[in-house]
Amino acid sequence: MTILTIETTGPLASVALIDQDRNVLERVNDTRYSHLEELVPMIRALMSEGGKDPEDIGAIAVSRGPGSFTGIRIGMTTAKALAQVWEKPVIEVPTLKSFAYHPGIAPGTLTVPVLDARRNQVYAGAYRKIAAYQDVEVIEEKAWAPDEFLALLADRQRAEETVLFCGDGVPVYCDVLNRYPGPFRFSAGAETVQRAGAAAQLALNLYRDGIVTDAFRSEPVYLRQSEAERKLQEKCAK
Amino acid sequence: MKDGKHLTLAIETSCDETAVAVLADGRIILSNVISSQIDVHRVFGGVVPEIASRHHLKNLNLVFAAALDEAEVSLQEIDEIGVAPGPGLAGALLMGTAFAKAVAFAAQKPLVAVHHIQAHIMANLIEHPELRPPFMALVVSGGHTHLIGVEEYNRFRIWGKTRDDAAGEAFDKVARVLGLGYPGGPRIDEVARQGDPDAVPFKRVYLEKDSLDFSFSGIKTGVINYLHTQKQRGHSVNVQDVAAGFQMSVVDVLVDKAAMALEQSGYRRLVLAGGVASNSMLREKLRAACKRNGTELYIPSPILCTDNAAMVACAAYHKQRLGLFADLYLDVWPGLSIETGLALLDAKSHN
Ligand SMILES: [Zn+2]
Repeated sequence: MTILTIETTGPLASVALIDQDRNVLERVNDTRYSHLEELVPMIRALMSEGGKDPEDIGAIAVSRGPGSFTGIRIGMTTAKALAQVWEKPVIEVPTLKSFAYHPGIAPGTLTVPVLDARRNQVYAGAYRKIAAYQDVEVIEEKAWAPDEFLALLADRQRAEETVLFCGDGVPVYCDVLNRYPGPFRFSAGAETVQRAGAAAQLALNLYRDGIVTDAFRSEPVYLRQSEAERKLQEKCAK
Repeated sequence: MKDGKHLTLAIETSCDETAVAVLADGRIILSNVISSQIDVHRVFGGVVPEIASRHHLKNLNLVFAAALDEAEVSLQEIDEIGVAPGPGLAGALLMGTAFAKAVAFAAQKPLVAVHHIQAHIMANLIEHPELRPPFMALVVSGGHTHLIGVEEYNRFRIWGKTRDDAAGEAFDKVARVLGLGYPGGPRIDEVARQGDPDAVPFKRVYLEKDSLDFSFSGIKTGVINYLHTQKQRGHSVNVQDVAAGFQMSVVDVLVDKAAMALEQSGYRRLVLAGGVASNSMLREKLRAACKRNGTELYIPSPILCTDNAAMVACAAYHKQRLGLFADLYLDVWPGLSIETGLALLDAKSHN
């Protein structure tokens, strides 16, 4: 059994195959934001490289957000279409949590993905990596005001832990993050951005726990309404 | 192929309709499923791109399943997948195009990319199998006002186009200032029926002599100025008359320019296409004009005038006959013009 994983919520699109023994085959597109053009050809190349036919695929996993709205939708639509045609289950992978599954991050690290949500907010959460393929959620995913989030993080960080800030929000909010009181460092390797290889590890956990859905019911998680809805609500609240 | 018939499945998401259709032999509609988001966008007074994209994502799987179901065919029996990757709203186009690419890959079917406006024009071939190029097309929608000569199935020549607003855009804007709501076109059509089109005349903009181009940006200002003057003078406004007068001025220009295009091109057939093609006054006046000068007029039924996937399937059917396919690297083209668009879409061949 193999899971095909799609990750298009960040600056780099990537796809991965993972087997029951956690062997990962990954392809990353190095052209930023050409997700639509590259995604299907990447999947085709990945499956042929891995020698996999549709029959070998047990489920389609997709990074379901938060992240770039457009990016989320390209991955979700593609995953849902593949799942419908191939009649496979869909695994919705929480994007922020998947950061903790980067192979380069050592157990014991408090992984803190920070994505730029604009309007002075970040999509962030905190995940304590307790083993190679296991995490504990320390702060839930949400669109946070950076200061509010960091105060909570300082509160929940353990003395012996180091925070690892990763994600595309790090360069945007580095001034604020640099004032963080606890021990921390910034990611430097592959864990700087979302990647299908990491998402695939979390997807396998979810699959084993039976947390799957299908082509019709799978949904993205934006963590935020559209601007038009927000403005309309503000107007109505007055 | 099923029972000796060639089957095209197409997907269309350029604005706020999520649509999938199955067409047999390029003209028999087996299914034409359209999920409209009009009610979703009404509270915002127009289509909100982000919300449209979210709804396409939500609807596509169901609409796709319904189209196959209704057509009583399996995906395996489909010969090719058609899609319109432009022009339209970027985020909306992305959804249909991503879906079409994934389906084409997953089911191992060729992919055909068609221009959205080409599809609107080709909608006429579905109901009129006897219609063959060359003919002139008057395309009027929220985003387009074009006079396009269809020289061959995939060869087009632009004879005229709007220099500013599209006719449909003018309808929406004027409907808004008249407080008629959204969508503006059908509302004005409805209200204008009770009005006198000669009571409040508005300026008809013809541009230079012999020009086949259009300009509709000034007409909204004309309506606003009229409303303003009436208010200043303490006169009441008859909305029906204003709607009728406005509609007549737009329709007159469209009809006159279409007649000029026929004369200049020498074509004897005119087809109407696009969302505004449902406008009752436009249909009526065009019929009368064509009858006068002996032109054959083709107008698709309203369901084929709105954005739908049957028209995309029809255009895709004719393109695949010419061996024109897209590959899996297909991207969206929100601002795709019809002049350069056709060549761009076929720049790469399948596999
Ligand atoms: Zn259209």
